[in-house]
Amino acid sequence: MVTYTDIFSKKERVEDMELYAGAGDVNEQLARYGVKFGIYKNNEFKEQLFPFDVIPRVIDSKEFDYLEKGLKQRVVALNHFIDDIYGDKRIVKDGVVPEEFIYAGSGYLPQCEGIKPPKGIYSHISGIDLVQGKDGNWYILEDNLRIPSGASYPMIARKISRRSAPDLFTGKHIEDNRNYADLLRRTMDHVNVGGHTVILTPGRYNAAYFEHSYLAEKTGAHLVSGSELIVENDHLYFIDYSGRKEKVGAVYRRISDEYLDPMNFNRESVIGIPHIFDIYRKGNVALINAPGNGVADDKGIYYFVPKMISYYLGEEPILSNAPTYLPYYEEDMKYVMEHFDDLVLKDVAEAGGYGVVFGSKMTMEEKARFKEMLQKEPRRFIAQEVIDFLDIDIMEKGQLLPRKADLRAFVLMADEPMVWKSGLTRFSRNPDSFIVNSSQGGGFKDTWVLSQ
Amino acid sequence: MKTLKFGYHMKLTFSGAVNNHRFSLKCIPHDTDMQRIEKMSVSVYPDHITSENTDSYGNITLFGYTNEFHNSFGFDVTGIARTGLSEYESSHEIHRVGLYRYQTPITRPGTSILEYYKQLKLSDLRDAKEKALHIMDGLNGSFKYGQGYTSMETTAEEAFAGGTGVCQDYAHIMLSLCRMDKIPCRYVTGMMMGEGRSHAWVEVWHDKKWLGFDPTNKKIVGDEYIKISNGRDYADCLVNQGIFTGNVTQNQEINVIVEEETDE
Repeated sequence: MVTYTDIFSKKERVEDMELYAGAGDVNEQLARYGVKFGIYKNNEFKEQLFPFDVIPRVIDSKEFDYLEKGLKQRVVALNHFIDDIYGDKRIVKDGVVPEEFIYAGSGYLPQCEGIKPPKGIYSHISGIDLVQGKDGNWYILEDNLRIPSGASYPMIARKISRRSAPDLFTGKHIEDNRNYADLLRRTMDHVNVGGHTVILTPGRYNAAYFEHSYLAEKTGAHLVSGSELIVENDHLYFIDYSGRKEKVGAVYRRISDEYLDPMNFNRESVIGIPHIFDIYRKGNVALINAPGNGVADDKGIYYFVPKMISYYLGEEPILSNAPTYLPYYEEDMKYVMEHFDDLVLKDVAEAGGYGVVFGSKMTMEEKARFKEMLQKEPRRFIAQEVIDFLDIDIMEKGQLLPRKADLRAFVLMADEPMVWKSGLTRFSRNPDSFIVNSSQGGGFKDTWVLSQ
Repeated sequence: MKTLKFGYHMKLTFSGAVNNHRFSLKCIPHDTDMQRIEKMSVSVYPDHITSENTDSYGNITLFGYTNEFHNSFGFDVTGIARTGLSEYESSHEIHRVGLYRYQTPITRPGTSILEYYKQLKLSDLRDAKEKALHIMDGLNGSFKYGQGYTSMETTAEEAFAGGTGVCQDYAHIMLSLCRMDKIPCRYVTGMMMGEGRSHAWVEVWHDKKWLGFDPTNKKIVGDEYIKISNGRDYADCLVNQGIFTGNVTQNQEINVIVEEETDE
């Protein structure tokens, strides 16, 4: 296990980095670039800066090789799973995953039954969240297979840091992370069925609008809104500034399934494209990521991912889940009831750090109420051991402070799975919190993968 | 077995001109084990560019658009069907049947259906067919037919609590009850002999076959019925769905005629 202290000299750590952080230079430039994170609070849209911490998370090359193998294996298995669920459902028939975890889950879309996406790829871009325990082991916390965001933040932070503090990079063997756009382009081109590649954004009031525009600029794809795309004669067209229609073969859509097509999903959607799903069904456009992926990344299904790896690949999982219990199974329910205070309970339908409660932090009354609810709706929750996270240092006002952090690794699927040699390290600014989501006020770091 | 001549006519009249009209229609019956469509003609007006597709439930879907201004929109589907070719529909997609076992937002029971479910004592019965018959018989006495009490958006629970509704409501309530008993079942839109509007009923999974039950008329579905589409509930079987530009009100007329073809 390496940390930044292994690759920076004492002077760099104590003087240079402090100087660099103190100048506020990078954060100022990020603000100027519009690197913001928007959130809805009390029905109001607020943009906030995504605070950047100058101390990078460092992962050595051997460790990253191990992560890379494990991540590829996991994403390949998840892709098999989605294909199976919307196809023959062998894994259900064989009793590995109970039927109700599929059909009664919120992520399953019956509209996707029987559809084979171009090249059989469902999760083109996967954001896999991991944490490192104090024991040095990595654990998977969550798979994000819908439209995971976040890659643009370390991309631009690296770029600005290199310019602001070039000395800190000298003599360090770091994998260049500015190739994310190339990986993404390769991923989009691989499934393009003929025509332009576009990035579809719901608009500037979206939490990740900065990212949409940045990725469009870096990949050379057109950034479009729903009103610039139209379905005609079984194909999708982009209407350019002169009113000419140009065929589109791949859409990296940064809008959720629900709003994608008012004729097939939420009928109230005004940001979607009517009938895009109908021509996707016919194989006439690639949608990145495929609709319906939510069936594979909810917290209930998470429990089954190690089993999927064995089932589809006949391999042992390389990366472990956090130890998880499924109250749906009687044995696990018993364990959860008996060890309630040691566990964290998560509502399978929630995301973004919401619906997470710690057994030990509840009052007696809350516990009793929660246990009752759990007995009534066992499928609604998972319980996990609280992992003793490895703290990593952040710098605040010239002081080094230990904080909880996770890592979102990005796995892209083109003709082969590719793991981006970087990632988004998010940390909690509150010393007592385990929740690192940016929507809850966390910050981020660059992730340096060493090349030797 | 019967030979049925059918006509399904739908017309939307707008109070003013609309354009940018996009639509999806599920109005075309197809061959099943129980019926064979021998002749059919489909027309959609005004002139539209139309594509065809089959949705995930196996329903034929016409979809298309027009950018021209128009004051009315509609379709005519006419043809001849041979019905009653079998007493059930077999499934080529057994792996997918489980999806019909779970409640949807429309069929999810509330207190009135839960209460009624307990009274039915389904656990005393042997199999899905017996249970479906029992539910159908019970509903016929516990729920009254009447138009104007419910709307297209009414859920099973709302309808049952109100006590009166139309075929769509009968079907949703029956689906809700069957699913509480973990029986896969699906909503069916179709036509029935006579003249009027389209009809809705239920298919229940029994012994690896789909059996049709018409709770509105307390009948097993046979050769008087022509099926158009099926799904988890009404929302999967919308005959006409559209969006357009125009601040107008619309009036829908539906006329369905099914009669036995007499030898000429």
